[in-house]
Amino acid sequence: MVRKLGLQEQLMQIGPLVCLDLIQNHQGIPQLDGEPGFAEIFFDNVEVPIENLIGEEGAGWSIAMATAGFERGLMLRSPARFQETAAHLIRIAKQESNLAPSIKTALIDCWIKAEAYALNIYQTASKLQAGKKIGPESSLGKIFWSTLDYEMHSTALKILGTLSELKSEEASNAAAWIKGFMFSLAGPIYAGTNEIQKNIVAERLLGLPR
Amino acid sequence: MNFTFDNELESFVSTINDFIQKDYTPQHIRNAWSSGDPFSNEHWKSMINLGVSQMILDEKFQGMGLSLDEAILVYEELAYGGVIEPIIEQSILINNLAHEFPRGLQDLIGERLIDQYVALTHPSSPFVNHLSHASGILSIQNNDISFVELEGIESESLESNDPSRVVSSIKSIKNSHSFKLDPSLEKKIVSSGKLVSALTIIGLSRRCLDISSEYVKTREQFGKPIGSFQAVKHMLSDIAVKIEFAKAAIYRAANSIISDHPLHELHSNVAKYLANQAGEIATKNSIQAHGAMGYTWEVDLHIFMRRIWAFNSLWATQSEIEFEIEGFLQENTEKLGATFTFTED
Repeated sequence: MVRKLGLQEQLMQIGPLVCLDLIQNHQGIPQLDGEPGFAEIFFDNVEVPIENLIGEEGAGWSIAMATAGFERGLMLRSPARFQETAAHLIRIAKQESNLAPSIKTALIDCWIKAEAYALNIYQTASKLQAGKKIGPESSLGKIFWSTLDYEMHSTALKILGTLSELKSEEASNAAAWIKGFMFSLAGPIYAGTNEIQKNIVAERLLGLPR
Repeated sequence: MNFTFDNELESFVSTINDFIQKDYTPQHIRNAWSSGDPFSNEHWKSMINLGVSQMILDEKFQGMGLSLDEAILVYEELAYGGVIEPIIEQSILINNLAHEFPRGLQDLIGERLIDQYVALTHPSSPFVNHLSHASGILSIQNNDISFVELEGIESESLESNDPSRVVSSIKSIKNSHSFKLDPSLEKKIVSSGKLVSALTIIGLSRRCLDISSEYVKTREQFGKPIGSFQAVKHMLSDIAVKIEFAKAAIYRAANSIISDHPLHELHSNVAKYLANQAGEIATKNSIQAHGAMGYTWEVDLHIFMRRIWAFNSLWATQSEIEFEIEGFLQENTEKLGATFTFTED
């Protein structure tokens, strides 16, 4: 099977530092939250010195996937972020006297899942410390935390009520929750969409056919 | 705490797996069901000889005194096998805590713990399982723990939706020996019960996932195995995610129980909550992945699903778990967050 030589593989082959010098043309793309986080990058007539090759020639895909494994599993979203978000969520909920049963259920669910995520990551850390490696199971983590992140922020907006549309509102922290909510929408997409992650889980962990 | 297991234990787990694959096939479970008395004395003996219930029994009772959090994978593997005999319950609820029981009770039951089945009842797990094979019953009620002799006992047979569980309700007793039960020990017994049901559900959920994965690899539709379709892949991946994220919480609950962690009740509630979610999706999606075959008696899936449903409400109902966790979150709002993951107060 031959994989397409995509941008990611080229980047891995030439290395990110060299790459910055090579970008001759780029164009920013505003994101949903207004931040210019995306960019189109164009490479014209680029020659890369052979000594900049990382790993074997044509092996860029597996290097990119190993990096993505770390990104999905451990490095990108530290467990403390979710635990702190869950704690803040419980605190803003406590200030409300009338919470719908569905919101109370969501609070419990979010807090438990933030705990579960932290414990799972500590288990991964214990495994790495014992000399084991991160494999396709990192896809499980990516599905889990990105779903949790959205659930926490969408619950927060329900609790904030009419303040939840106010980006100008600092006192109740609504601005930060809105920002977090917008960002949480990206979670199930970046680092490989959750649908792709589910395919990886099915094919590489459960052995289902392609 | 460390979440890894040493090699010796991992090799014991594969011994257990060999036992399950050889002597504990789904066909064996079906034969046991139709025999009228599914508890097999022979299998009970095999598991005793393997050291399953002895390994976490204190050395004062001739046990090996291994710690529960180290041994947990062994029990999860037995759960995976769908073992009928209540050896996981005996090991974790009784043998693991026996050295903390009241002195007189220890003298009374100590010798039985090596190779006999002692049943246990509590208001959150009120039925006696496999009464006819028990050498006595530990009954917990109103701050007392009693050892009930079987002689002169009157009971009513009930029918479980899981034919592997032969349950009865005790109507009257003749001879029993009662002891005061320290409330802190009762809490540990209840936490241990939640741990038993959580790890049992996770072992069984893994089994459902394995059975379903095998099925969708071979069952063809539109000229391809149905497991190549994304709609099917995603159903099974959803199960794998829920199982993965219950595991570490289960190991922590075990660690908290044996280390007398002040939050062991919370930790066992968290473990059971996550296991219940995994069990729910494991059963629902597994039937769906099998299509109409999932609704038949001949596919082995239901042997394991029935146990998940039976354990779902044992030792804590969903409502109890959620109310207890909500109470904790209400009272400890200022002590939530990453700083408190491993603190003791």
